[in-house]
Amino acid sequence: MSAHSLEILSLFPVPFYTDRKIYFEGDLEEEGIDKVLDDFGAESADSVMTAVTTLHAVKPELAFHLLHSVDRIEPLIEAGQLELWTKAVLDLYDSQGLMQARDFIRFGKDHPLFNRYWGKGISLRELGSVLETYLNSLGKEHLSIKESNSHYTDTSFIYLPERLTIFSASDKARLLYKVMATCSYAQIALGTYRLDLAGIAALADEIRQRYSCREEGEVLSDLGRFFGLFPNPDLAADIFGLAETVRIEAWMIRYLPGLYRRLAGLKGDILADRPDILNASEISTTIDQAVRWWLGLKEAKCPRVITDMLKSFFENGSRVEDTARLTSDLYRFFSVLEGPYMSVAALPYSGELRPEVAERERLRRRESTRVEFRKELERLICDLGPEEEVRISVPPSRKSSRSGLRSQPRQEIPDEININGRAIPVPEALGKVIEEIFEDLGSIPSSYLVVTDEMSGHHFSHLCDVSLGPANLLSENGKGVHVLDEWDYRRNGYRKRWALLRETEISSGEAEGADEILSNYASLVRRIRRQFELMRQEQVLLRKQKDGDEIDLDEAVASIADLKAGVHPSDQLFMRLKRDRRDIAAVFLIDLSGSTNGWINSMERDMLLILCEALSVLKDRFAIYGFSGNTRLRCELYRIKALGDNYDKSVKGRIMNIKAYEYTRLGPPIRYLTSLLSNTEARTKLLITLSDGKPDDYDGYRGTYGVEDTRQALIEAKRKGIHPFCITIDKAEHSYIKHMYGEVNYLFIDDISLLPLKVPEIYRKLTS
Amino acid sequence: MHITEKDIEEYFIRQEPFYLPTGDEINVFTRSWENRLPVLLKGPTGCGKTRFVEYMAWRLARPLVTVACHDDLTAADLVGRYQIKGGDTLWVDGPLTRAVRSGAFCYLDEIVEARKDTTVVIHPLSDDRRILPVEKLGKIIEAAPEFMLIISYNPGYQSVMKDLKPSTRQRFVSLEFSYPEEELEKKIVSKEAGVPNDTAAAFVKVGRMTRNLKEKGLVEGASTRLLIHAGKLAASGISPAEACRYAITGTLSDDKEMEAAISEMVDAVF
Repeated sequence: MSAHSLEILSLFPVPFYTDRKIYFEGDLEEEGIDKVLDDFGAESADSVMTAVTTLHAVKPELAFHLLHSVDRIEPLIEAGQLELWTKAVLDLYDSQGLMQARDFIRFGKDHPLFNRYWGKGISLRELGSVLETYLNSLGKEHLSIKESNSHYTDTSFIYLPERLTIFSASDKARLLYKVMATCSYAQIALGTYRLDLAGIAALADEIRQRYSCREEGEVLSDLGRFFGLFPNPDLAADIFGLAETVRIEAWMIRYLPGLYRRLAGLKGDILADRPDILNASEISTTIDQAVRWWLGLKEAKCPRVITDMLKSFFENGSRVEDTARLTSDLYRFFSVLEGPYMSVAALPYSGELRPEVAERERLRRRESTRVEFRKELERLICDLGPEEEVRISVPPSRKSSRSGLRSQPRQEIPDEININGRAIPVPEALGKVIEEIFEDLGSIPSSYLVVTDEMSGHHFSHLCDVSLGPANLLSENGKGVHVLDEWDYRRNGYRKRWALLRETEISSGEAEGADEILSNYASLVRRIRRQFELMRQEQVLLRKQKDGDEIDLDEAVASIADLKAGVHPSDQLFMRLKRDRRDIAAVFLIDLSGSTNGWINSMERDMLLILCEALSVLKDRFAIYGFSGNTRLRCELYRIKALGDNYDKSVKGRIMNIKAYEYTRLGPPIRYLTSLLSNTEARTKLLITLSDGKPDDYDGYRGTYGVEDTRQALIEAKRKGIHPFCITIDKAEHSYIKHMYGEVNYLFIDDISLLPLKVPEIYRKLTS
Repeated sequence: MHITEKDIEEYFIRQEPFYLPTGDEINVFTRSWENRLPVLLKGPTGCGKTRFVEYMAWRLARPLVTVACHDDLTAADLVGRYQIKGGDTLWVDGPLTRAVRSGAFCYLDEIVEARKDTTVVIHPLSDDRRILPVEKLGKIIEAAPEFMLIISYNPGYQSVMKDLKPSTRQRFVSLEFSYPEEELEKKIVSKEAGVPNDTAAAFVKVGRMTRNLKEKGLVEGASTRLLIHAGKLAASGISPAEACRYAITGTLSDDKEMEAAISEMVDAVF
């Protein structure tokens, strides 16, 4: 019996359930699962055992399957890749569930996904954020990269294949990824999907007359409709795709000459790698030859007239309308060749054309921009104060920007709007939205400017104030949503982009109630204010300085005396006023989970009011956030007071409006506030959490997992120079708090009614 | 005091500094000076604020006293103080007093960095009184007619601690600076660094690409000054891509992935 046999058997207490069989007493031994590691060397067996325990901690069945199929991943064990493999299994388990993870283990190196991690070439994830950052340097708008099976763009995201296998040399594959991303960017920036049929009406009519095709009804995009003008839309799309690539490369040679030069070097390799097409029709072969010619094949069998047209287009074509024209011309040549046309492989870097996907995304964005615009407008109108009637118009801009490069002309966009005849400068946030609208539509449609009743009054409802239900999950690119990693202690690593956190502002309630509460606490408030006044910046007069603002007369007299006496005089003759500036930024994170409902919640409210009173004496910068959540896909952070906000009526109102929500997922808000604080300039940064219990959320965020993730989030905060501190009112147990925050960094308050008294006191002690 | 008046001669700028206007700033500055109005220059680091002041001092033939403000700069540092020399106390004018007396331009660079009490001494100078009370001497010095106060500040820091108080701001004519237009920036880099136009154009392209990353990972993009540095390295024989690596990539970020991404940008351009 090997060293691991007993350990293995102890992991799977009978009866043990798997998808195929239930194991009873003796079954496991009979299958020999305890002996699978006997043939391995001691080191390999140990590493397998580590993987087994890691998987077991998450899902015992996965560990079982690993032992069952361990021979299928033998090469990985030898190469020391088992840890990476285990992470891959857990990623798969997280993202696609047990069945997929099980199959991944069972099939081992024969599983199709295995290539994604250990295949030839390079995977997208190896490039990390470098490619995305590079991509975003190309233009002003933000673009994200997503993994996909194919390469295309919907104009908001660029989808790239998760692995490139065509080159074994990783630098070539890396370059290919870069070219692919750049081409997709260029499609967006050069307006591939912004072809406007109305702009090429004459051409469209000519094509219609030439082929008299029936146009199909359900096509959304102009580009799709343009392809539909031709008898064979696929052929038209392929020609258009090739021509667009030519146009994009012409742009590249001007804008990114270095990349173009490297692409030219890469083309030879791509050509060598391009498979021959067999038994294809004349028309397909000719298209294929045109592609090969563009890749640099000298003796390509492509009619001269076609290559000449492409060549002159490379030199002169600049707009997408030119591409459409060229497509029409080339189509005429190709269509006389013998068919049928079967699509040939396009250039591997140009990306698929998906006009419908792009159009849908454009419409989605247009709608969200419209909503955003209305919201910003509401905000502006509310800031201006109540008006009987509001009329808005936009002063005519000098020129509208419609097509062409997306980059510059900002000045064409109005920087003022007229509200009731008054010209109001456009605030920055609104300006950005207006810019997007101009980008899309060229001007602001008048329907956007119609003022509704609730907009002109005092009050307007926040868009984010939607009803909260479990089905209401956040989307990754939603407004105010931040994507955060989470720590999984079992795999000793992060779950990437795991939790979605949304920051919203609590709507403001009645501030009068706050004054009433404060008057109930009047004597306490007075006392605390007095205490805090004593802490206000003290000035110390430093004597005997080598330089300073004032002469230290005592020293000066002494030194003259010294001089007269023939003693070497001191040169420390000045006084300097030293101000001990309290350079503090503090963030209070308040537990608003369901368990705080009622009494605790109202004490939290009282405490916050008194705290604010105290802190406004000190003039320390402080922020207050509440948190709650329901699964990793909806962590909520409620802003009560941001660092820059003044403590005023609306803050009071928001404090009055806090209530208990759902669960306690502590890691994401801490991570987010850490990044917020680390971007704040202050000598001392404090993150004070008030919590009433252990981290706990619906989807397994409890027990050790929750505690460890919170602990890791706090470690990250400390690394960034932030001091975390915890005030707990958890009566049951607080040993875990010590583990999370460290020995001296927490305090337990057992009498909740003392909360309003204690918290300001704790703050005072912490900062003096 | 005699010493300082002689010294002021040294503050004249004798050679024309290279400056290409980006708008109407020369005219506005000149008219402000004629009307004895102080000027506030706003803009990101390295976009030409200091160079502009130097140019204007040369153009209007005034001496220029520049003070780079820091967080230990006190009012006394600006106004002056008594020093003890050989058993005697001796008053020494600070740079601001010197400029006020001699009708020079006093340029307080990055004013928000200075201690808050310094802004108070510039208040009476920056309204129509144009006086500098020197408490220690018990005197009020009236500014010479040619005196001009210029302050600069970078709103990009967005820090609560480093914001200019409205009571200070509202005394100044403000001139906004940003990185020059692409064509102009090419000319500036080419001239300042002594590189051919196309090389300058490539540096400018890299610079503009890094500016697109502002708030997408970088605090600030490459300033014109950085581009000139890269250009100078290139002009003295280092390959342009390498010059970018030394002068731009490493300077903008310490983050490995960000550095790698900037290298990708440089590779795409050169």
